[in-house]
Amino acid sequence: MRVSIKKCFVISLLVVSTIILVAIGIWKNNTGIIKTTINENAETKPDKTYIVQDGKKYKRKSYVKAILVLGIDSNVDMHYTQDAGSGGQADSIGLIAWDTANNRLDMIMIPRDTMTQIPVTDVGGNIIGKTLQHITMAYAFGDGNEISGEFMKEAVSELFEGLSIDQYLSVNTSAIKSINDAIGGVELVIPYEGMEKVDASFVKGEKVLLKGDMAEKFLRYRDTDSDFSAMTRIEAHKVYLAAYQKKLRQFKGDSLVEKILKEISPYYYTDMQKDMILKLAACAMADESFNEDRMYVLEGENKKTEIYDEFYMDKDMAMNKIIDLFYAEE
Amino acid sequence: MKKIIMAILSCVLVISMAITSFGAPSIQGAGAKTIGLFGALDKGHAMIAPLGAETTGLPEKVVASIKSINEGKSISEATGLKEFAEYKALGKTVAILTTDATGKILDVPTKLSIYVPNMVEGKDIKVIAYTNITGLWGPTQVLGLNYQKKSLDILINGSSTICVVYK
Repeated sequence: MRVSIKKCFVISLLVVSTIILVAIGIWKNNTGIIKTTINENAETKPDKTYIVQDGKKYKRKSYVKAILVLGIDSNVDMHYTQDAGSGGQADSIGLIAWDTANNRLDMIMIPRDTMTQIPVTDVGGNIIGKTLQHITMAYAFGDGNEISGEFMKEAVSELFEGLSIDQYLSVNTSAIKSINDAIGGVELVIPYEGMEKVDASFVKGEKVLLKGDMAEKFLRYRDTDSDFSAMTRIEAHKVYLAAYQKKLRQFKGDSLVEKILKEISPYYYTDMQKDMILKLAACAMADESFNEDRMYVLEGENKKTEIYDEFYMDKDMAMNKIIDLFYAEE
Repeated sequence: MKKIIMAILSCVLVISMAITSFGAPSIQGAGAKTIGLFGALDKGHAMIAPLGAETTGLPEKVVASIKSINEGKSISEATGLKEFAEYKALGKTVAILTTDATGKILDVPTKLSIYVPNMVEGKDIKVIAYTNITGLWGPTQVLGLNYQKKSLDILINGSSTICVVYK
């Protein structure tokens, strides 16, 4: 009997110790998580199936998907929410016109300094309203993942007269190396002068194989002492994307993209289902005629202010392109 | 009996190791300040306090108030300014140092033009400040407001921690 009581006491003590340890672990884990301060989603306008331009009526082509691809200037785990104003900025903004009927991709590249109405929040994450601001900041005023993505969709939709944006995919700088090296690196010709400041091999006109950290250096470089350097950087992004897609065409099947997605898992955020990402990637792999000519950079006017560059899109030219890609005349 | 104890102890050890790794904090990037400084006006001099030195030398209670404001909590409770009960912080606080022409700190009345990226038309916008030389929170004088430029011209009484608020 004495032995039995002693045995029970020891076992009970060990079980209680285990419970306490588990409780401490749960508490520690929860205090490490940043809680969202965002408490409202942005307003979204009703989808515009029809638009009118120059007296003509156009209907949205349902088979052409509008996928917003964002390169975010942050290196955090994107599955943790950030405080409003700290979500990171969308430094690279591309709107893909994915023609699912003809397996064709086109892209509209939107300069980060494009001025448009964006939703803005206060310190507590409350949506204050909309204001004319750099489109890149729509991401920053969100939570660094879902709400930031929705704010960007809303801002781009507003920019293009209510074009419904189907989905978005945000990727931050921590993913660049994995994406680049997964296909064995990207070979391209350095497009302009000045890039040798970040890597001695980046001499204008020289062919370079970007591997490891080189890809991020290439994509992020801009001469901030020069006006409108963000516009110049877009040209580098075009060169990179064209070179990447050209090499990607050597690969077949889903395994490469699945491998990339697994590797960059903390560093991307999307409202796309995985099968859609794989289908989009398959289209990119198969599109033999994709090149820099299918990447259209918005045209407009650059303005210099006291502290920030601003870009004002030529609305007529932009909407002509949007109609060409996403709509058909009734 | 010994075998049972060893088995349970092993389980406890494994669980505690799993909890420790599960509880490790994830990598976070630095947050971005939203309010900027265009500059001092009328031949005054001012600068934003260096990163990490925003609350250097301030009383603990004031540091706590600043932290509370930056977490989006009640302005009036943090500062004691009851007339700002309905106001919310538009952006995080900014520590401004007023200086002489050589950059040496000089606490004199100084006009500033500040950049407020999330200024929205139609809102009642004000600026409050903790003034270092008085040790008090209070409203600052707003001299001008430009929604297009997103600028506010204000007058501060020497080095201060300012906060743009709205309702």
